[in-house]
Amino acid sequence: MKNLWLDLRYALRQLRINPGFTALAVGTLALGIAANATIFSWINATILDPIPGIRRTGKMITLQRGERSEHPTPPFSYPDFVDLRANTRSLNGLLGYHDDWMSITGGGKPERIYGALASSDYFEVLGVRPILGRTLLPTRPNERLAVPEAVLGYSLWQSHFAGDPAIVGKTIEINLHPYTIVGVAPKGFHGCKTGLRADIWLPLGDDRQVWGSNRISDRGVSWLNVLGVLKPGVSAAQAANELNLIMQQLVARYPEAHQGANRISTDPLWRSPFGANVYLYGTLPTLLALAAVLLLLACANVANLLLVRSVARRREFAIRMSMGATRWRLVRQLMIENLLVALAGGAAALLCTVWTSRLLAVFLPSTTLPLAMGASVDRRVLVATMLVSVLTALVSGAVPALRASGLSPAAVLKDESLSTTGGLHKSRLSGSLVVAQVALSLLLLVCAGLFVRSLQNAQKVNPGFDPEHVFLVTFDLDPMGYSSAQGTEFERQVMERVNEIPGVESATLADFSPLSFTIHSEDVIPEGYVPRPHESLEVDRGEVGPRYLATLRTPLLAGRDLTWQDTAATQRVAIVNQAFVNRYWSGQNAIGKRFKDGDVWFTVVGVAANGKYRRLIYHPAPLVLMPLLQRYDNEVILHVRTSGDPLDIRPAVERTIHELNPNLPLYNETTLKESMRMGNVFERIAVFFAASFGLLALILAAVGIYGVVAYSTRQRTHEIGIRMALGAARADVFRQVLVQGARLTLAGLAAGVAVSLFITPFLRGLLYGVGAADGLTYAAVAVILSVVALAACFVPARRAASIEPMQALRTE
Amino acid sequence: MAQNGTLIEIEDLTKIFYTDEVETHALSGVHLTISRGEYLAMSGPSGCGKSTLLSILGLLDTPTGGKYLLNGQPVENLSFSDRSRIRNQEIGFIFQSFNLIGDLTVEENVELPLTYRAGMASAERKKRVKEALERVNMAHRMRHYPAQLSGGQQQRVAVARALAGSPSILLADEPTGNLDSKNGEAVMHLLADLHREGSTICMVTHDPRFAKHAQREVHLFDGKVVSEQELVKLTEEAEA
Repeated sequence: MKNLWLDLRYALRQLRINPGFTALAVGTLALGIAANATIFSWINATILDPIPGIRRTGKMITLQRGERSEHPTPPFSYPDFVDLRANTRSLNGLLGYHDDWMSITGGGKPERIYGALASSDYFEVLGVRPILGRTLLPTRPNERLAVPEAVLGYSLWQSHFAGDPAIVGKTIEINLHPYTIVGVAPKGFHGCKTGLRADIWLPLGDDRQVWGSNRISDRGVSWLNVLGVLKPGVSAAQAANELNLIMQQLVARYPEAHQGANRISTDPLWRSPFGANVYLYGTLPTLLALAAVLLLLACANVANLLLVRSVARRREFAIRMSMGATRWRLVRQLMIENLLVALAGGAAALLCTVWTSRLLAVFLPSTTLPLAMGASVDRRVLVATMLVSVLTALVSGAVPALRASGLSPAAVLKDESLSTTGGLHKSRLSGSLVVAQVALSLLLLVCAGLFVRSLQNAQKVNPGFDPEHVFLVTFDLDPMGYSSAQGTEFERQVMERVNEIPGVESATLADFSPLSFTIHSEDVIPEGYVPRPHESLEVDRGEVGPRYLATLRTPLLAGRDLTWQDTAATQRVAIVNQAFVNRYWSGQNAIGKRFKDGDVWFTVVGVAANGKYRRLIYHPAPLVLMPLLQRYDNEVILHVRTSGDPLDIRPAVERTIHELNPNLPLYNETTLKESMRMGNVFERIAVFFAASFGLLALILAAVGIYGVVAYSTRQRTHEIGIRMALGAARADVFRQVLVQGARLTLAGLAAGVAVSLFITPFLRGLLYGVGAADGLTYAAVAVILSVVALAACFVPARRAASIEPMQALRTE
Repeated sequence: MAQNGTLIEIEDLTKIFYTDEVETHALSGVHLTISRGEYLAMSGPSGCGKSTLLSILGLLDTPTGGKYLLNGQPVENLSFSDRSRIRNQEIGFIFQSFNLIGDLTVEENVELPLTYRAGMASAERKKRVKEALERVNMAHRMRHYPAQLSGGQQQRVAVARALAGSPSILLADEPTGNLDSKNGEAVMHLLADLHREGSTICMVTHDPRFAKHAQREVHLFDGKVVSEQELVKLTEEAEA
């Protein structure tokens, strides 16, 4: 123990007296560890902790019905949910919920909050205990009934009620209806949708009061997300089998309510399709893998530094060995030094991660979505970072330590072998490390290049509309107490008046905006189409105002745009897109054909060109656009096409709407271009970090090549003197050093291409419009890496070539 | 051995080293002529300037002053690349510490100076390497690395390397300094053989036994060429 303490003190002194080495090694490792810690902090906040505030999410599953989708609608009706909950034997609990925007009313302007209607055992199934009051459990006997009770989220309790400890029993008004606050959820709990935050929970039976719907008793209306907890020893597959058996019975008993696909599939929470994780669980592990490669590169760099340093300390080691130090003792001493360097790198990385962990939120554009993707450095990130640091010490330090301790003390102390210069194997290890560095850099750069090309391709895609010069603003009429008729009239007036504002080319309303994850989907039955067994008939659905296509500048391929005359008093009409026609009425004239939505038939009056409404990288999906004036929606987004800067129109639009209702809150005032950044946010995250890692890898590789070539050149100064004595000109020496670097680089490039060709096919799912073996990317990366490598060799080459022969010959 | 004219002629050669504010006169007005085919030994006490003189003769260093004619051409003010070219074609070095390159085989070491000679075909290089190694009886070790050879063998390889380019002169700096007496004698015999075959040799040595192998001996003391009698006198004065 005392020896260990001595070694520790000696190690600290060594690091202190070599500040250059210490700073370089710590900085290099900090870069690599910080990259991993940052990505891990995001994985920790999303995949490992899919719904914050809940422990043991590993046994929880979400249920999906019908064809699997990345963007499923809530899959279950309340009656089906109740039957599943009553009959399942494989689950310890099953909860249902529906979340959406609602407003706190009763004060001045309504305050918009995101809340959920939850089944009575919602909190019990999740294992969440309120910090004040109780949960919704006592409402279970009256789950279908409108029980005016509410559980507040912690942040809403803090922000709206200043953390009032006597809040339980007080009344809050939601969408103009009074609710008694019965409890407050614990801090950090946001509900059970990944990446989305709910601020309040009300009983399911309040659907009519809150949103004016009556879905609770309708088996044909799917509106609930369902989450279950597996019993011990039961697998997700077993649970799915059992739930499917129950579902088959329900389908047989109520066939009218279960048209289309009904197969139930399950997902663990970490990759739940309900929420943000569905877009992250593929990207984040890929980024972590890239970060791990970067860390390996950093380790290779530090290993090279240690090798160089061990040569300089050969005499010290020889003296220690001659005085009785065992090899193990020397290795231990060196590993303690390495561990200190790695831990210092880990500590620096943690400091950096405190800031970089918040970068995930920075990428999210202004959106109406209640995103809650805050990552931070918690205990798990701390422990993981420290473990990675220790591992880093082993990876970067073990081989140099074994090498350094494997010398012959007698030979070193005699300082013999002056008769020959250079050693056959002396720099082979360093060279191998550089080859590995170049190979890993190439891999990272190729990945970065592929992501960049993919994003470029996605951005080049015609979205099917013109995103320039469009101002967006959202409002919700529900909290203001509008009936459907009043709301429809208000929305009509808004559109009419905004269209009259000077500078406005065209304005319309819609219940979504493209590429912002706000579009809905719905099951429709196209007339004359015979679905395959279990085929999903779910299509994208928008409710839009008159001249929607004209306002968005979406080409009309046949028929007409929606007009002011498409009202509740006229025939139900709709526009479909080309993808809809291709899928359901291929080769037929769609104009005049009908499709059924619920119990209502809609006649197609126009065919629009395909557009991108969910993500730029998705293929165009079938879409139906229905007149808002025929199907009222309380929450709508005003689209205003302007002739100038769209944000300039903002005051006039606000003034016009407030002339109609001065108290109506307006949300999310932005441009369409800004809003649709959400449509490729995950690609941009991947590109930013892959490119950052690629750039860091390039720098590390350049430093590595420079270090090895410079060191090797210095080691070979005597040899260079001999060569000059034998007639080598400066150009010969310069060329020799460059060739040495070029050989290492070429070997690294060859190895890197081989590794990349093996690895990059795994990225296929994340790429758009570019192959995993894209020749242009590989060629560009190889050229960049070669140029950087040669540039890194330039300085040592020039230095070597400028040595005076006599001076070089005197160098030992 | 017949004298075939002057190969090297230096007049009033000086070399001053400057370190901080201290001037060290390594050579002070050296006059020396070396004829083709001559075997010259330069001797003198440690620090007398013989290695400095050899470096200047080998164009590894430049004089501070004076004239240096090689093959009748002034070479004291040539550019680095011209000096490299002349060194490669006209001069063969034999070092005390052999200075073989450990990463290269015997064959590659001997071939090395030829690789710096533009336009020489690979077959020609191989032929010359083989001949040079045969001359020093090391052809059978072509594929070996220097570390696999004894000191005497390494020095023979170094001699072969110096010979391979068919230089005008061999400059040997204490060629036996790192060898035992038996191997030292062997190397001296090898140089004598080369001289008999026509090579011009200029050897630095401080060992009088080996200096006797040369046709002519030049003594240096404090950077000047002195006679043997002067050397004895100056040495005695210095010791006193």
